[in-house]
Amino acid sequence: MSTSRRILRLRVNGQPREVLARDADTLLDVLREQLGLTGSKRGCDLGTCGCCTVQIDGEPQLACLTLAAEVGEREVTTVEALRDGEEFAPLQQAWAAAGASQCGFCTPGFLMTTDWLLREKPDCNREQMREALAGNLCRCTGYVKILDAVERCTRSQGACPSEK
Amino acid sequence: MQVPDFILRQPATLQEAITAAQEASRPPDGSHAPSAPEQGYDWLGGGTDLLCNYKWRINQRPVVIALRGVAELQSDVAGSLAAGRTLWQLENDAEIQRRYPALASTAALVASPLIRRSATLGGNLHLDTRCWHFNQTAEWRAAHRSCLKAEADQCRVLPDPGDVCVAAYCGDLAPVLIAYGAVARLHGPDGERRVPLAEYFAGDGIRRFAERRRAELMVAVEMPADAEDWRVNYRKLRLRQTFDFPEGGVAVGLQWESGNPGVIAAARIATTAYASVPLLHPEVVELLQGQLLDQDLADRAGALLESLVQPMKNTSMSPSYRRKMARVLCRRALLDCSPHSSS
Ligand SMILES: Cc1cc2nc3c(=O)[nH]c(=O)nc-3n(C[C@H](O)[C@H](O)[C@H](O)COP(=O)(O)OP(=O)(O)OC[C@H]3O[C@@H](n4cnc5c(N)ncnc54)[C@H](O)[C@@H]3O)c2cc1C
Ligand code: FES
Ligand code: FES
Repeated sequence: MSTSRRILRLRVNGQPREVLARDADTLLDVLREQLGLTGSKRGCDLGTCGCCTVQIDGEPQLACLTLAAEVGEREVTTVEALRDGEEFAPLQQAWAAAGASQCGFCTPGFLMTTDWLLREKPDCNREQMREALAGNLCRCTGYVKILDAVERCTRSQGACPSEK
Repeated sequence: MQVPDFILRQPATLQEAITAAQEASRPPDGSHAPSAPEQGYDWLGGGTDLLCNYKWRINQRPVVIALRGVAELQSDVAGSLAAGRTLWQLENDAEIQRRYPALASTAALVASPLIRRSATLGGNLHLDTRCWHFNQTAEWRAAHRSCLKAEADQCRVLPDPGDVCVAAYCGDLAPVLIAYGAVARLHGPDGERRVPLAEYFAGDGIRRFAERRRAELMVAVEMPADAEDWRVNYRKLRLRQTFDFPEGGVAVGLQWESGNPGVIAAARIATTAYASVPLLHPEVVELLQGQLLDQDLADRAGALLESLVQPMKNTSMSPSYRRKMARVLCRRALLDCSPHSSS
């Protein structure tokens, strides 16, 4: 069959972006291949790892299972938008300080889910963190250091991103 | 992995969706003969099942009709749950938690929290059946010459007779909704029809519905007026506590005799992941009816269920373990319904 394409007008990281995409392209295809935003990783491409997590209207979503043409006018935020100018965001600094990244492949996805979690539940406990992060897999760290990093950013620890 | 090409339709109303499906299922010459697979369409809910299958080149269709924008599928009307609601919404909705607690808690057991953000109720109920030989890449299937549900002419799990597909239905919500007595509301070119979910599924891993009409879709699931009088519980067997599909699932619904909590007036037992469709178990219901729910009764019901389910060797865990666990899941689900249980 012939390829069906369309021009998409997306809003990505606060900027209007125009791309020509196949109807069947996922948001991850468009972010990585067309917009050069390679922070969102292609891990499994099947919903089983969470490496591709971005935020759509502030909510974490899997870019590998979202059709780009279905995003419409909603705001897409990728890990590239977390940092504040030249500075890493407190969340990213916490990740480094806690040693929550080894190979780093899962990190963008974890950061995007955690950023949402800390906005929703700035005082979350470890059980709530585990629950919220149950869609993100890490093959390296064993998760303890990831939870340590999130904990450093809770309100009681003073580094909550929502208060930055 | 690229999703193979298709034409995406994005209707805004139910009528537009049905018209798009009629157009897509009409052969190019405009006649009204049934369409071949290379024609046709698929509905798209959250895409968390369909897009995975498409990426593996499984049974893709040239037209995909997205339901996200269809207004009628997005908001509940009294007593019914719209098919486009996400599982994330179901698990976090205070009203659903209060009225149908087992539905909310089961929604929270599906896949992962990230998948549940997109996954819809309609998509969950129509989840495609699963099998080792089916959920594989095109290259794997070509190398193994499998499977009947994709492009081969024989089932690899049950080669004799070989023309029946034994892929497992692994949706978590169907047995729970059956235990509540829910009814599917369907819409198609001929208007609306209502089918109890308990009668909706039938057939094998390929022909999974009692009656499938062209261009018809599920608009909502109606919860019966007495649903809140039923004590419903669901137990799920899986490898990890997140991501994994059920390897076995047992839903139990009980109603007590009036004035006699603990004595079973009516029961519904439904399982998932043990066959190509969710199964009802009238034999277990018969055993339970009129009895006082205690440890002994729960043990006997579990043993009976174990003797009834016949899982195939087509998922991660062995059929014998899955069968044994049917007993455990059933017993636990029953005892959790007891008036003295905290859940
Ligand atoms: C890693 C992973 C783990 C998973 N684990 C589980 C699990 O534990 N339990 C479980 O139940 N599921 C699981 N799933 C499967 C899936 O995510 C859910 O079943 C989900 O609810 C499917 O909904 P959807 O809207 O994404 O469906 P889609 O992929 O959009 O559609 C699925 C099917 O339903 C049809 N359909 C969709 N909406 C309608 C409608 N309104 N009327 C008629 N047909 C319709 C589609 O045409 C398609 O055939 C898992 C998936 C993944 C990727
Ligand atoms: S790449 Fe999307 S979940 Fe793995
Ligand atoms: S740091 Fe390697 S996968 Fe998480």
